[in-house]
Formats: sequence, structure tokens, C-alpha cells
Amino acid sequence: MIEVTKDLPRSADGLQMDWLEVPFGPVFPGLPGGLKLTLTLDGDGVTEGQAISLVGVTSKGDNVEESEEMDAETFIAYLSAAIPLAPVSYRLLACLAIEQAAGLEDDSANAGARTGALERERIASHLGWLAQLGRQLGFAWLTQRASTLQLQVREANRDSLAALEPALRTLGTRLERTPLLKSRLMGVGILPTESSGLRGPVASAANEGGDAWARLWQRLAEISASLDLIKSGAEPELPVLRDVGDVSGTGEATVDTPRGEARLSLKLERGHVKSYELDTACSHHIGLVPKLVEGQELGDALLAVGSLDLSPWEVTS
Amino acid sequence: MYAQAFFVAVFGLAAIGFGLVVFRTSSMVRSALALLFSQTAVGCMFLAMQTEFLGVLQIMMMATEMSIMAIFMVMFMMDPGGLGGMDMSHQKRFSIGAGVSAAVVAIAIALLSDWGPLADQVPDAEAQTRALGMELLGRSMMIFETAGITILTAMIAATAVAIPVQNLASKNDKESSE
Amino acid sequence: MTVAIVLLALLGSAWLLAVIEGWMATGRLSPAAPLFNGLAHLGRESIVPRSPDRVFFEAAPVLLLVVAVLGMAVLPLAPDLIIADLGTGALFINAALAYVLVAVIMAGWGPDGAYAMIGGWRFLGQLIAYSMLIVMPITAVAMRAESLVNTAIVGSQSSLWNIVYQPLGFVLFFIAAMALAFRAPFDLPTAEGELGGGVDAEYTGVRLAVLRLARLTLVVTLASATTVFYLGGWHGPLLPPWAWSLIKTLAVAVSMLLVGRYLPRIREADLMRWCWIMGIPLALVNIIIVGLLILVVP
Repeated sequence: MIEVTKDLPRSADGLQMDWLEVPFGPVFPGLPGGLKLTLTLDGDGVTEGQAISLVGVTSKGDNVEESEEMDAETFIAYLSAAIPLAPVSYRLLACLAIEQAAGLEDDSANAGARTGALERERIASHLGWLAQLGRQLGFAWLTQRASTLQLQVREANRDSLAALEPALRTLGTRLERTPLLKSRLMGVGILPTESSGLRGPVASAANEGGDAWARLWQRLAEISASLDLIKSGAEPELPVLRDVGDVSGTGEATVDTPRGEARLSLKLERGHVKSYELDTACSHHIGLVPKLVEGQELGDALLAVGSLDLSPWEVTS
Repeated sequence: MYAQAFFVAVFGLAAIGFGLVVFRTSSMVRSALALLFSQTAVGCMFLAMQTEFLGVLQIMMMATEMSIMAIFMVMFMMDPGGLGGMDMSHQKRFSIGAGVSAAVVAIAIALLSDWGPLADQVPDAEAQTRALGMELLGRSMMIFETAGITILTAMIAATAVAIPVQNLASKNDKESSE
Repeated sequence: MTVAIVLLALLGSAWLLAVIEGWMATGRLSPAAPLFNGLAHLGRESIVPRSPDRVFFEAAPVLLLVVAVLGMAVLPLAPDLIIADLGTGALFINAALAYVLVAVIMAGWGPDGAYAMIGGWRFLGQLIAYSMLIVMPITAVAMRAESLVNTAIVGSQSSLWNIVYQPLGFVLFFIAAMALAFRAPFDLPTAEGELGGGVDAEYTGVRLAVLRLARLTLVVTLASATTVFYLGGWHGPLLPPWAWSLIKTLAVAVSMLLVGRYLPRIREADLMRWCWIMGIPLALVNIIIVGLLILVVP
């Protein structure tokens, strides 16, 4: 018996056992679809793991072929369709980058409506994350509540958002009062101190303890902040590209998407996108996964990965 | 009377049958659960012999105990699923000898003891439970308490032995000295 | 006759529970849904995973169902509406329910799948946490009744229900019963978001239908046990005894489902820690209090 086990790697509890390599995803109830997490399990513990996206968007288009060249409108539609979890943000990002490439001034008339749409999507996206958290935790009430709200928020105008406001704001109080939730999330998914490339809620929460609990509260705070922004701003409207004509030039834009900052730089030639380069928050965050899951219990490891709010579509390849 | 003897015999044979399965399979989990069902059959024999409390107790305790044994076997044995075709038996001649002589002794005791006169009336389950309670908390109290503590100590000791020393300081010393 | 009535009551309660469960999940009250879902399961292909431990795989759902029904067999719905009023009824419940663990381990080991296996062994850890909290509160209940006979236990509560006499025991037993039935928030072996269904994951078709029925039956049995041990069983004004038993049982079962909706899943380590550091001392305190009450109050 000893002879057979002596060369096996040793786990944290000191027992030597067979390790299992188990796939979680690309369709797993507790993870966003399209994300494939491969964990090496030692009993209920994770010894190592890594995540890849099976549906990532292409980060670069260099000297696109003549036949595949997209005009500005097609490019915008392509980018927002490629990222179904945050279409408005990427639509806005593409619009801004193209408008800058066309040399247009900042558009103060539309800015309010665009911000409104972006903030509305932020609320909806965070609600979607809460629903996912509920699914992961087996917390049926949260899943149901958050996904109902998400559907209502997605297309809401300012008035209906104002009507939803009490429901959204009480969500935090409700979660604070939920027994077991704090003990379940505190200390889970603490980022290693040297981690770099953090953006969005994950980065802001890093200063507040940097665990899943802090990220939950960061997202709830962002929902509140977005509500305030929409209330004081203009009616949310889907960003529409202004008339740019057949211009050429290069442009670069940054948008604070629900998952963190995304940057897009592109080159226009006669109104067609010649090349572009996309840099998203999730492409950086997915690299945190191996450190986050190592040595954790399975449930905690999945929670830690979930708390990053990875969108596999936004992981550039 | 005959029905009773019939059921005692059936459960007895089932106990022996499951007992055989324990050694006929190389899957550790199957082996543990076969032992469980063998013990459950012994519990059913108690029931057939109208000793309700002991029977139910046996059936209850074995479920937990054997399941815990199953996980220990999965933890410590290589090839717990029995798929590798590993031979886990050893000291065959000695075991056969020990088994046969134990059986002979048991049968001899069963046949040669003076069991006293047959009881005409079995007390009902409640009276049995009460009598058992009086016994456990009276004359036999020390024996059972000692046995309980001994088993607990053995369990803690077994777990402690299984886990290697996790003293970081001494481990570091060892590594630096190497 | 009694057997048929009790089994029918069990099946009816399981059906009602399934309807209520569906109602809470979807917001629609559809009495026929459990029936159609069951039929749909029967119609679906029942897939056998690659290289299963066939005996365990096939036996586990059936064993779970048998165990739940056996547990119900010693619980009275009314003074004479009980399948077997054993002299050791309160202990027999424990014996029957101990095999829930065996069934879950078999369901976990049988299909040769990682999710299922982890789920099965997780339940063994869960047992180590909850089992003492099933046995010790029942001890206090039996102390008051001075009997292990379940009808005598109900009889002992004719003037005062045990939920008032020993509330601490009730709370501990209720929590432990939920852990035993592996309902949320104690659904570690089946955790949907962690193990994709765990021990349920590899079951399909007829086998899944049996497994689901068994799990519902188990909840009803445990709710009935809670009723018998703590809620005065069939006692109650106006309505006939069996009606009171059913109403109380369903109320307990529904509250078990409700609690799970509003709580996140507990961590295995936390469950173990709280059960052993808080639960078992509290259960001992409960036994001491009840013992003192029995001695002091005539």
C-alpha cells in the first residue's frame, strides 16, 4: 500500500489520493456559459485549475481582407453582437472609437443619453451576476428576484427605472440580513497581493478586502450609483453612430463596461474598419483563476471564479 | 415457531452470503457495503428471534459504521474501485486456518453449552428494552463505558496515525539539511 | 387496509409537496405538473453511464424510496392508523434513516462520475455533522414519554406539545432533519451550482423519477417524524386525528422547503463546526433540562 502511494503528490490534508481532473463548463449551472474551468480535484479540494473561454471575441483585426472589410455600422453591430452580456457598452465603445477616428468633436448632446444607456446596462449586468451568484449558492430567492429585476431593467426608461428603484435599493438590505451569506462569502476568492491588471468592480473591491463579499458589495454600490446617475441625467438611449462619411483615420476609445474598462483602437479607411485592437477587463481577469482556486474547497473555488464576473465572450483570443 | 426458524435461517444464510461477497469482490466500496448488508442480516436475525431492540440497534449502527469504513477503505486502499485487478489478499494459509478453527470453536460452543431450559414466554419489546436499560446502567455500566472510551480512543488514534506530522518548522529543517 | 391508507397519504403528501415546490419555483400552481413530469421521465431514455457499478447504480434510488417508506411505517397518523406500532419505534426511525446515507453513497459511487462521487462522499461528512442531532433530541423526547413507542410519544404530549416543552430539541431536530433530507441549504450532495446535480447528475428517465419521488417521500417522512415527536401528532381540536397529522406534516414539510429558498448553501466545514461546537452541547443541555423537568415537575 505504502509503495503504491509514495510517489503520488501530497495534498493539503496530508493524505495521498488519486487526483481527478474534472471539467466544469462550458455549460455548467454554476458558471457563465461558454467558460470552461478545468479543476484538478483532490477529494473536495482543488489542487489546481485553469479557465479558458470557448466563445471569446477576436482581439485584433489586422489588415482585414478587402472582401471581409466592414463598414462602420457593420463593425458596430458585429462588436455588440459578439458580446451578448454587454452589447450596449461595446456598441458605445465602437461608436466612440469610430467617431474619434473620423475626427468628430465630443458630442455633448448625446452624451447624457449614452451614459444613461451604459449605466442601465451596468445595473442589468450586475443583476445578472447576482442571479448567477444565487444559482451557484442554491439561493433560489436571489436568483428569482435578481433575474426578474434584470429583465425589467434592461429595456426600462427613466420613469420605469424610478419605479424599480426601491426594489433595487432594498436588495442590498435584504442580502445584508440573509443569514449564512456573509460567512459563506467572507474570505473567499482573496486576490493575491501582486495581482495586476485588475479593472472595474474587481479592482475597486480589492481595497475593501478583496474577497467575494467585498465584490458583492462593490457591485451593489455600483447599482446605487448608476441609479443616481440615470436619475440626474438624460433618458437612456441606445448609442447611434453619428454620420462619419467615408473618412480615414485612427481612433481610440475607452468605456467603463460593467466588468471594467475596455479599450478599442481602430483604423478607418474610407469609412471601413481596416484594423482594430480590443482590450477587455475579462481577458486580464481570467488569468487570475489559477491563483484563486488553488488549495480551495470546490465550492469556494467556484464562488471565487464566479465573483470575478467573467464574461467568456469578453475574453479576447 | 417454524416460520420463526425459517426466517432465522434465511437471514443467517443471507449474512453468510454477503459475508462471502466481502472477499469475492475487489471493489473496496462493494466490499464495505457487502459487510454492511451481512451485518444488517444479522440484525434481521435478532428481529426474527424477537429481540427487537437489539435488532433495530444493530441495523442502525451498522449503516453508519460500515459507510464510514467504506470511506476509510477508499482513502487508504489503492485501487478502491477494484478496476486494476490488484490482489489484496495475503497470508492465505494462516487466514484459512484461523477461520476454520474459529468456526469449529463457535459450533462446538453452540452445541456443547448448556443453554438452560427453553423460555415459554418471550417478554414483549418494551419489557426487553427496559430490562436492557437496567442492565446497561447497572451491573454492566463500567464494561460499556470502558468499551465506548476505548473505541473512541482507537478512532482518534487511527486518524492521527494516518495524517503525517504537519509541523512546518521541522519540515523546513529537513529540507534545509538535505 | 391501514397499509394502503398510510401509503396513499404518503403518496398524496409527496404529490402536494411537488405541486407546492413547483409553485414556489415558477409562480404557477399546476396540480397536474408532477404527474406529467413523472410520465415524461418514464418516457425518456434512461441512460446508463459508462462502466457503472451496476448493482449500486440500480439499487440506490429504490433503496432510498424503501427507506423513506419504512420510516413512515412506524409513524402514527391517528391512534390506530399506523402500519407497525413497534416497541422501539423511535429507534427504528433512526435505523431506517441511517440507510439514507447508504443509498446516497451508492448513488454517488455507482455511476462512475466525478460529480456524483464527490456528492456521495460529501453526504458522509454531512452525516457526521447531523446524525447526533437526530438521535439526541429523540432521546429527550423518549425520556418524557418514558417509552420508545411512537403512539406513546404522541400520547405524552396530550396536554403540552414537545415544541413548547423542549423547544431547543425541536430546533435542533428540525435543522438536522433538513440536513438528513439534503434539502437546501444543506443540499451539499446534490448542489446544482457546485456539482451540477451531484448524486442526481447521472440519473435519467425512470431512475430519476424514482429518485425524485424518494427524495420527496423522505421529506414527508421527516416532517411526519417532526410532527409525531414535537407537534403533538394527531392532537388537535375539532378535526379528526388523521387530518391534524396530515396538516401538521404538510406544514412542517412546506416550511422545510421555504427555509431553503431564502438561504445560501452552507459550507461543509461550517456545518460540521457548528453542529459539533454548538449543536451537540445544546442537545446535551436539552437532555439535561428535560431530565430536570421530568424529575422536578410531576
